[in-house]
Amino acid sequence: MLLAADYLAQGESMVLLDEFEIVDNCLYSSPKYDGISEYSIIPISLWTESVCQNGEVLLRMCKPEIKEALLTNVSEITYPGLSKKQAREVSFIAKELMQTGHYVKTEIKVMLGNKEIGTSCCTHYIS
Amino acid sequence: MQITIDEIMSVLEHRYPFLMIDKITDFEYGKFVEAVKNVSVNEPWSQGHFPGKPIYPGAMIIESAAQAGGFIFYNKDDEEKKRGGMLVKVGNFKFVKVVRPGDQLVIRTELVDQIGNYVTVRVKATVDGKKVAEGEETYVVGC
Repeated sequence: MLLAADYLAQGESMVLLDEFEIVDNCLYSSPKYDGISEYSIIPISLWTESVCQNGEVLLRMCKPEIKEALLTNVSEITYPGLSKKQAREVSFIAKELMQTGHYVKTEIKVMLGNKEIGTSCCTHYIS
Repeated sequence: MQITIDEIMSVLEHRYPFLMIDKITDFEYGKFVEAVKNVSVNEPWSQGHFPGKPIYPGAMIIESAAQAGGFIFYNKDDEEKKRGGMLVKVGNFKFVKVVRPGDQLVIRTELVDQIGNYVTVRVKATVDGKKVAEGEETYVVGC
């Protein structure tokens, strides 16, 4: 397992993914929400950011030549309003869907335990 | 009609550092909400996104819009509608320009659809009149 913090451009306070691994070009990861108390609901901002950081980590692993990856689009973010305690069961499975020029679209399946609770997409502009 | 930060705080449970609107500057029940967020470097996200080059995260724009849009069916005189809406889904959201400390983010959310308790709003966020982001958000209201 690798640490997302070692690959993301964000500073430690904005790193919302914990460990990950890549198997057959798919990224398997889990979120971390430091600074949130155990029974507090994960805010939509942190939830969305954690989903989208999967795309960035996948890009940086599969396209190590990129310098910047800017988020330009997110879609279908289902917000379950989980507490930090409940979110310990959340994991993500991400894969690249397509690249058009500088734009790369990633699909992220959101799992709660063994159950899929949503599939989101994000697009990054890479340079 | 305007809604001050005191009234916003009486409706939203969000507090520092996750209270991400400063004022509702215009509002028409069931039609639209317009809010402002003054983006400051003196906020926790600026340390990490990104070190040495603070950019207001797109996810935080979604959060600001979510908090603003929740007021679309807010009515302080109606006990059932005093709490605002609860976000359940973020639709297609595009970020077209970066937002940086010093910018005043103006967020306008307009009702586009309602099915039962589910309400969808269209969001447009601007800085100095120029669009920085747009998208859709869905809420449950009256629960």
